[in-house]
Amino acid sequence: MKTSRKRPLVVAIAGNPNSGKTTLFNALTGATAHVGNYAGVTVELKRGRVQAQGQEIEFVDLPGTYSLTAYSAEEMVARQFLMDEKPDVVVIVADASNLERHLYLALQIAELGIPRVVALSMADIARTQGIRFDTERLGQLFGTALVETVAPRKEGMDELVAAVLERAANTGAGLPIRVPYGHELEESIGRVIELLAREAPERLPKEEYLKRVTALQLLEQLPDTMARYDDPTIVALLESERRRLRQLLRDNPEIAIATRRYGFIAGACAETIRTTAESRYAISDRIDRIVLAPGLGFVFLLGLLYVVFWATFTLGAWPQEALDWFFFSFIGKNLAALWPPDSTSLLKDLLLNGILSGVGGVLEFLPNIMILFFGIALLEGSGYMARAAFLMDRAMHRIGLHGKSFIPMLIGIGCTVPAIMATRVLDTRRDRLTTLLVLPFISCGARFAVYAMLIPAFFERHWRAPILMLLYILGALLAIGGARLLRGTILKGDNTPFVMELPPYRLPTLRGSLLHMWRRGRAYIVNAGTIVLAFSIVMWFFSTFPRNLEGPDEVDGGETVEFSQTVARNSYADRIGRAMEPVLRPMGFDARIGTALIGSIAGKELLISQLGVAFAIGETDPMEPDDAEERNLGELPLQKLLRQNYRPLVGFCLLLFSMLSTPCLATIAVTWKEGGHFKWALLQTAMLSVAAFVITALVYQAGTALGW
Amino acid sequence: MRARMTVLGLVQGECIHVVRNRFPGPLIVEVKGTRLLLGVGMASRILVEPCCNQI
Repeated sequence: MKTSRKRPLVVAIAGNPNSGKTTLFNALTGATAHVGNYAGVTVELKRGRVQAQGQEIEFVDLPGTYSLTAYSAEEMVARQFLMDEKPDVVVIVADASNLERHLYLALQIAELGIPRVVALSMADIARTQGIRFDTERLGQLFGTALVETVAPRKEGMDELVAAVLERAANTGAGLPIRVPYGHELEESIGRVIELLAREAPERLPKEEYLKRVTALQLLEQLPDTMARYDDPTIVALLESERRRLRQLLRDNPEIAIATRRYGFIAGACAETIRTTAESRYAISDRIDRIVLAPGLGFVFLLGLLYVVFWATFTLGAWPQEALDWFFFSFIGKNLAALWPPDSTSLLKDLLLNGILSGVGGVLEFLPNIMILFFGIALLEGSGYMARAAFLMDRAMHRIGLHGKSFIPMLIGIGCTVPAIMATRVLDTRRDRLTTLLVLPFISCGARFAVYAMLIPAFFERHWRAPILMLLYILGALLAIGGARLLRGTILKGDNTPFVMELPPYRLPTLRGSLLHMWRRGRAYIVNAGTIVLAFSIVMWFFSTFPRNLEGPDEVDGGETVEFSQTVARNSYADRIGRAMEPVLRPMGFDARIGTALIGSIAGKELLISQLGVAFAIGETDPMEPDDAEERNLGELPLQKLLRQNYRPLVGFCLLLFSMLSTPCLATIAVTWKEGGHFKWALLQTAMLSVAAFVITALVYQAGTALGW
Repeated sequence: MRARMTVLGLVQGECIHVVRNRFPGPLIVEVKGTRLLLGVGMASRILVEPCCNQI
């Protein structure tokens, strides 16, 4: 148990997707928030701590959900958090300009009697649309305080925090509200409670309102509640009650229950909201006329994606070069100068060839990754993602999925792990599995870093963009092929119905987008400081020991040489690499690439560092003057070494293999977790490995035959 | 699936406004002040009758 230290107040933030929940969370917590570990172990929940009136408050941003009925995996997460973690207070975010729909979730939370405060978000927009609320009366009806907020301008934040603290101070449940469900349903609720009191009194909650909620959930057939009361007598009675209700109401009980809830909300809104009805889609309609126009819409979509890539590459280039200079010229030289030039010090070797070349090589691509995530944040925040889903719906239908699956794929351009988590928005398991299994074919940011390093190493300037495009397109085609194959074999079934919300366009807040970028960027830095660092040291160890000091290979200036690096002969890495050669040779790879590939299983960005360690580029070789004619401007030492050692065809094969093989351990872990069974992770890995080997080998063999 | 639609506001008796319906793309409808994208398959399973109320 916890000691006497005052525990922070846990405040969950719940709300529909597109309710402005994340913006509110950002306004409340600022940059202090961190994203929960996403190594596939826990659910990604953002948390942020702040001090207010001498009380520490921990805000937890729950996934956006329409209800607590747990139809999708996201809703399950939100529900479980509210039920099991029992936050002290829940802030329910409801879009002030569309209250009726957004109050559904608020009503469900209110029924559970959880202490709560409703934040009316985007109150300014509602006001300009001529909507006026009687917040006091509405608050009475929902048994809660209502606070109008404008999160981007931080309006209403103090009031909201004050309301939360006040709510928390009044101990006990937060006034559960009782929705009248009508004669027939009420009768069934009564009978179910009676039966539970008789058959399972120990499992039945003491509070009257929770008994009611339990009965409702059983009539709605919520799987987790059903599992808790899995006795034959209870199940039998529930069946007969449901049958009775179906006859009387001419509808399924869960639909009738939802309809009653909406009825209650409609009544409350009619009483408390005055509107001079101007569609909140007025501006969106004008934009959509262009953005969703047939033909033109696709041009726009491609154009947007192109701009994101262009910015990632072009704008990211100069900070990347600055970082390169910092790591390899500044730190590298100064560090090397601490030892005499011909020193064989192990520490020097570890620092320069192990850690610096490994971690530095990965961190160098941080600017590119951050720009990429900034672009994705803008697309998400503006409401464009739903438009992309609309546009892609037809194309996605051809492969047995629908438009919604396109959103995880777009996110997958940033990182496969959150993309796999984003498949939670999909309604059926079949769609989810299909999408998450093929997601790794979409090249992520880490693989982008690999491309950014390898492509310029092997190809002339005018070939670089086309080759990058080719890789992304090939990935997309393979994802399509994979999805078709899966839908045609093990995940057969009808196309599932497609429903999703089309939110009005909103100006994404700069702050929110920057925060999103910063959170992802920080995760990348943390990764570089932990996993990459550890693997760099391990890889250095394997490529250095057993030590072989007598004959350091000559590093020559120009022609291709065999083994001009420091994967020391007969080191462990060298031996492993040689043992793998029969598999590697058909793809054109040698032992050094092989060991680097093994080293990059944990994460594809490690390939850069592992190649760096394999070629030991941390130390600028005194034998090799850094002259401008040999080294193109801005070229990294590793790129030069690669170009000297391998043909462009091998470079291309290495690109292909990096694109196709399993992106990282985190992907395997998250696939396992989100897929619900280890076999899906296994299937995904097998599929990727086979595709990687077969395609790369075919390309290499064909290319060699053509004399490339 | 029906329960899910209900939660999104497609309740029995509710007025629904078709914003866009260009075959073969999905439909855009407005219900309870929210636009929804509806796949053709889904939309064809909704029973409607004309109503004159403006939303």
